Amino acid sequence: MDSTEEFIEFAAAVGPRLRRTAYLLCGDWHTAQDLTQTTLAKVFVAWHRINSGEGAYAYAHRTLVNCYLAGKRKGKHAEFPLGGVPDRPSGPETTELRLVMLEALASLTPKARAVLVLRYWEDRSVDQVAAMLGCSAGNVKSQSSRALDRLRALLGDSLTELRVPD
Amino acid sequence: MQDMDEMAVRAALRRVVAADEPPVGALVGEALRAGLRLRRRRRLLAAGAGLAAVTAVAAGVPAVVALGQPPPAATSASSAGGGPGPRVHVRLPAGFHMVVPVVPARIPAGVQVPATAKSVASLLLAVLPAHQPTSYLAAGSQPDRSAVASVDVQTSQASGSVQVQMGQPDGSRLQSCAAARAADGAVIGCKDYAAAGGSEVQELVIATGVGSGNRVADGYSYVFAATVRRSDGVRVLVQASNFVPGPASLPPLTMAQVVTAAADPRWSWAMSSAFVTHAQRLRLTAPVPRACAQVQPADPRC
Repeated sequence: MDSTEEFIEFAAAVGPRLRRTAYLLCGDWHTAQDLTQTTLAKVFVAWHRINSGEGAYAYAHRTLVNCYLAGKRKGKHAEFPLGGVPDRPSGPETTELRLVMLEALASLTPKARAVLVLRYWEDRSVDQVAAMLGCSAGNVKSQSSRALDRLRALLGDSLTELRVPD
Repeated sequence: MQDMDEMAVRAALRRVVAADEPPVGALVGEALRAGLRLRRRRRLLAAGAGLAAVTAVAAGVPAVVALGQPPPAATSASSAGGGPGPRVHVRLPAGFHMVVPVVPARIPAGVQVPATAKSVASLLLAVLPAHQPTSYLAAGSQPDRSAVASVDVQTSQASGSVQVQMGQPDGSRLQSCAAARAADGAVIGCKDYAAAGGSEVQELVIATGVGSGNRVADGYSYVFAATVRRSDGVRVLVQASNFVPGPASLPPLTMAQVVTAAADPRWSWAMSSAFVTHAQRLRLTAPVPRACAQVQPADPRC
C-alpha cells in the first residue's frame, strides 16, 4: 500500500468523526464539510512526515481546530445555527434540543467553543486541549468552567433533564 | 454538580450530532484533490529555490508522452535508478518540435512601480487564454529572489493549475537540456532556442507520478513548462500541470500557450502603477473572476 492509498484509508476512517467535530465547532453541516475537507487536504500534504495511526489522528484534530479558529479570526465563515433547514426530519424533542444547544454553543467565543467540544465531545484531557490550542491548562480549565456556566444559564431545564446518563 | 453538568453536556453534544447528519458524500475524493493542489502550490511557493523549481515538482515516474494526445501506457521497465517505484524508458515522438513563435504583447504605459505578489498573480490571470474559468489564486514573493503565483484552470477537456515564477535578473544562462535531463529523470522532452530580442527559451515536458510511492498504475501528472530568460536577465517560468492523473489527462494549456504566457514582456519587477494598485484588491485562495485581472474601474467582486 503506497502513501496515497494509506491516506485514503485514513481519511475514510476518520472523516465522518472529524466532520461531526467540525459541525459542533461551526454549527452547520455545509461549513463542517468544507472544514473537514480543508483539514484532510492539509493532512495529505503533511502525510509523509506524520505518523500513521494515533499520531495522524491527533494531527488531524489539531489541524481542524486551527482551521476553525483561523476562519473565525478572519470572519470568513458565517454561522447560521438556527436558520438552517434540517436535511431530514427528526423528532420534535430532538430538534428543539438541537436548536437550543446550537444556540448555546453559538453564544460562546470560538475558543471557548473549541474547548468545550474538545473536552466533552472528543473527551480530551485538559492537558491535551491546552497543547492543541497552544494555551495553558489553567486557561483551558477557566474557559471550560465559564462555558459550562454559560450553557447552564442558557439551557436551564434542558440541561437538568440530560443529567440522566443515556 | 460540575460532573453532572459535564455528563449532561456530553449527552447534549451526542444528541446534536446524531440529528440531521447528512451523508459524507465525496469527502475523501475532494480532500485528496484539494491536497494534491495544495501540495503542488506549496512546492512552488516554497521553492524560492530559483527556477530549478521546474524540476523540483517532478519527482516520479517518467513515461512516454505525445503532446496533444493521451499518453500511451508505459511499455518497458528499467532499473529503478534510486527513485521510488519502477521507471520506464522515456522518449518524445520522432520529429516532434516544441518551438512555437513568440508573440510580443503590448507593454502598459504609465508610472512603473515595484511588482508585488498580487500584481504577479493578476498578470498571470491576464496572460491566460481568454474564456478559461479560473479559481483558487495563490501568490507569494521573496523580493530579493523571486515572485510566484498559481491559479487553477478548468477547460472543457482538462483541469489543472498554471503557475508562474519570476526570478530576479542575474547573469547566469539557462541550464542546458542535457543538464535538465540529468537533474531529473522525469524530464521527457526538452528544447532550447534563441528568440527575438535576445531572449533564450527552454521548453520542458515532465511526467510525474502521484505520491511518494509512485507506481506506473497510479497514472501520471504532466507538466508543460517554459522558461524565458530575457536580455535584461529576468527569468520567467510558466508551467501548466493537470490535477487528475490518468491516461487521458493533459494540462489545461498547450505548450504553445505556456510559451506565449512566459514570453509576455509585461513580466517585470517594475509594473504599471495602476496595474499594481488594482491588483492589491485581489483576494487570494478563493474563486477569482477574470475581470479582476484587468485594469478597470473598481469591481466589487474583486
